[in-house]
Amino acid sequence: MIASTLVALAAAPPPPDITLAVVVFAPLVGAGIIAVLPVETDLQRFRVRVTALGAALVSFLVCGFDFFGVLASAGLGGLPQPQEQTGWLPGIPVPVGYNLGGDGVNFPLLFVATILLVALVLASWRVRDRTRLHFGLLLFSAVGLLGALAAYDLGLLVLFFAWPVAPVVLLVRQGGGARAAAAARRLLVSWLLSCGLLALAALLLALRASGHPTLDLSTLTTDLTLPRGVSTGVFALVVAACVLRMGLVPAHLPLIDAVGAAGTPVAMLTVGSGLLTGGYTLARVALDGAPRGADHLATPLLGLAVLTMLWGAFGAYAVQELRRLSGYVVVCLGGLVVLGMVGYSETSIAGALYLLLAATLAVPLLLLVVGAVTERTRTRRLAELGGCGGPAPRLSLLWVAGAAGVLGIPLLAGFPALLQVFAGTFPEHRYGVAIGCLALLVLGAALFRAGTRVFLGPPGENVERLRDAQGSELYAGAVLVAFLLLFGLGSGRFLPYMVNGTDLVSGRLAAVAPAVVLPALGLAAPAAPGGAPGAP
Amino acid sequence: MTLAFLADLGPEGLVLAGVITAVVLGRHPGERPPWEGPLVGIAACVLAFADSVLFWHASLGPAVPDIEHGTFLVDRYTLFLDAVILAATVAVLLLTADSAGELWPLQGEFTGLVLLLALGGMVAAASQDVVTIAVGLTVTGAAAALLLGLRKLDAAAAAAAVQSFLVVAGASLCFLVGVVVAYGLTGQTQLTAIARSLHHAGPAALLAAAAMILGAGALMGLGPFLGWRATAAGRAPVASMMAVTVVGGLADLGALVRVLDAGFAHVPAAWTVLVAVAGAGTALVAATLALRATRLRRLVLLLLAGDAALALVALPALSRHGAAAALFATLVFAPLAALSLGAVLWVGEGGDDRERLRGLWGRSPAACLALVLALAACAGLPPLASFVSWFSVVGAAIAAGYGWVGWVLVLAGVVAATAVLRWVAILLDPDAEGPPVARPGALVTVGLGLCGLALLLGGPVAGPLIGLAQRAARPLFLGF
Repeated sequence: MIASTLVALAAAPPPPDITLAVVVFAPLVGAGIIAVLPVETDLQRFRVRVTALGAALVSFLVCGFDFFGVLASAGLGGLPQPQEQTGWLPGIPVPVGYNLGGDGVNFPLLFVATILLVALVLASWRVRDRTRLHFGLLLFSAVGLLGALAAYDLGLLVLFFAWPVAPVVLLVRQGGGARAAAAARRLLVSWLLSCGLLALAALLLALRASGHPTLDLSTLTTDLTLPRGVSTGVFALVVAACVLRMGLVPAHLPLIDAVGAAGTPVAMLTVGSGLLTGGYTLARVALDGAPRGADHLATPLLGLAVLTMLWGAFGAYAVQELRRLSGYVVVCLGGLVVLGMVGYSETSIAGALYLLLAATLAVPLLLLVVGAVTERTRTRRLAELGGCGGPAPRLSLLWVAGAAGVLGIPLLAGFPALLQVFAGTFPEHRYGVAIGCLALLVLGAALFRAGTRVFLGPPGENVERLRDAQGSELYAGAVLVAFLLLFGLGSGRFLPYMVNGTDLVSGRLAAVAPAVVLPALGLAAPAAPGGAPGAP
Repeated sequence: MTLAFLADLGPEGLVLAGVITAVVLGRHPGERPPWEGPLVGIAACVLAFADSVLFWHASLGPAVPDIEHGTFLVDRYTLFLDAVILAATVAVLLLTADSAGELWPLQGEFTGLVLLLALGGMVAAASQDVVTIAVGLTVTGAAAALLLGLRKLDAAAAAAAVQSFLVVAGASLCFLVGVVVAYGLTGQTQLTAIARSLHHAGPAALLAAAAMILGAGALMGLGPFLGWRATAAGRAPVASMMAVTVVGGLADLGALVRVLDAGFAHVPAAWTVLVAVAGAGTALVAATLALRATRLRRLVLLLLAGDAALALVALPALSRHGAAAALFATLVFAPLAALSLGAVLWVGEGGDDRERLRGLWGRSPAACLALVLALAACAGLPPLASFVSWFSVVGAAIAAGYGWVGWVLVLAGVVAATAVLRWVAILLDPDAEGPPVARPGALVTVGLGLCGLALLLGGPVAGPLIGLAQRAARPLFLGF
């Protein structure tokens, strides 16, 4: 009897893999539980925090288990594994499927997003006002972030792209005061526009693709017959959406204002959400979905990258407010990410994605330190700060780690990322890389100047109030530093996996734009009948 | 003539019986419990709904029973709309169950008029003849005007009713002009016959289509009638406003979809641009006006007008997918409008201006949550059902070649979401204080819960619902 049961079990089809669904929707379950928990006493508020942490840990652990499992198998990353696929809305003019997947392009970013979520919950541990609302919105917005990174269907991606807008804006608004209200308003309009543009691009892409309308990314990205005009339109729309979401120049002010006005965990969430979803969409939809458009608009995209890098770096140097400085750091990093994307080689695109990953860990770390310093000393101006390193050595160390992560100091995740970006982009855009290096130098000078001003020198105003990082705040910082180190030291394991994913992207670009891509790969462009190399 | 049509029009008959019973029972308001009227109405709707559902399997495909030589047609489109209208009516009756004070001593009349509104919508939905569609729309419009003027001694409500009567009369006249022109062109009043005869989109066909769109659109509050609709409904009792907006809106939408997709399918040039402009323009103007709204009631009415107009934008696709997108939007509109106005009724008792509602979260989290959910759904925020509806409608519009509609709807969506999130921020303001909002009765709680659940689950499980809408849209394109 037992034997026959075992045989039957062995012969049965394996149960469906729902790990990605667990990763994406565990925070939603957590938010649902938190919504009904009472918050009258300290104990009840503690339960809310523990619930949030539990939900974040479930996502993190399940995702980590799956991610490292996939990494152990050599050669993976090109195709989505794990994957969950089922029809969701087959009956609408453009059918949308429930299709989640993890490959070399998105799985590492998804894992980093779960790390960020854990750090966010820890960083929010001391939030005492409106605990339920704060943690509920935090987890709710995380569903959008994780879902956008796991989506393998463009319709689903649009849905998750739009998902965090309302909760993030409301969280920014909770910062209090007219400044937070104005920042929330600007961020709302900017992010909503980005969602609308992405939705239009998705519909255009689906309806103008050959065959039946579809939003399945696997199908869309292998269809290379999209007319050049449509492809260019789609590419321009997606880039515009990503510019608005990532806070690239000229749409950088809403993000910088939000970072300046929001509370520390909310600023971390805003930056992480904007960078990850925007950068990933740029790679997945713009480059992979509209390669002809990428070919056509390579120069404007490079211009955007250069402008954004320089604006961010010099802005960071010029700004006199610590929080806004962090905002400009994000802008500059966004420009570097775009520079990597416009390299159009698997190395540069993988570098850009790795830079997103590093920025998602390093910038929130900087924001954590900046938040602790500015909230405790009650001043944001650089000129009024000084000597904080004495009473707060741990905060100083966390600042150094964050700045080193941003600037690409070896051993941390930023180093392999920037190396890949510069090395991969150099064959095609030498001047762009030179400007990128210049921007990085200026950014380094800005961070060095701010670090020395804040942590060294004579004590500034209210320094006696400054308490060092401890408890949950320290744990949040430690989590971020640990993974910055892990991704720095273990880049040899992670990068090949990502390159396997980006290899397909650059391959598709090469198929439609050999004149652009092949030189970037160090290969000669094919000679056209007229004799001009690389002529279309 | 046989009496077989009595069985075929069973749902309509049951609703009519409900109208009569509610009015008769409501003649002595002080002697009967206040919940009796709503319960009678709900019972009539549930029975009619059950009758409709039983008919669903009997009405397969092209072999639909026609009644009175094709004047009425009980196809799946009719049954779908009947079910939606009846469900919306039940929601309205549940959500207004606590409004005895506002409606007293006319609660029986209120229930009767709400059912009459539903009856008009069901007649229009089942009509295959443009004349009976006009009759159905007029019944709906008249019942709506009576509902708005239910509080006879209130000058504002009376003015709203008079204004409504004038608009209904004008709209009906306009619709009839369209009917007359269509008859003059084709010699037919049945939609399929009109469609078979009408092959050339000349000026007369354009006039016929435009007059019908204008007539039904005026009742819906499309385009230039948007301001009137919001102002007139805003002066009336909230319960009446809810009935008119929810049930009346569905009836007008259903009639327009039937007329355009079944009657004018061969002359799309005569109406598609007009519908696209009217739908997208209304959505954008409504969102812009909502941005300036300082009262919750006006905000919600404007957003709902935009949502109703959204459904029309899918029609120019002239395909089963397009009609299904419109029907899904109609389906979503029912719980959306009911929940929004139910929340307004709940929280707006002491006033619905911004300052009074500031910080509602701190005073009444449940009321605030219901309102936030309703407002988010009105703006089409994900992951709610209205987001899926927005996406499918925009997809249908772009598939029809109206890419600019996509731009306009994106802009409208951004503006609407901005308006909504500004209000949400006010509701969540931690610094404001005020009196708590009283908890609603059991029936209202059930109504709010069901509508909220429908909007929450309508997104994730939209697939089967869209499949249902597709099956309902199929008869519109049969025989062409």
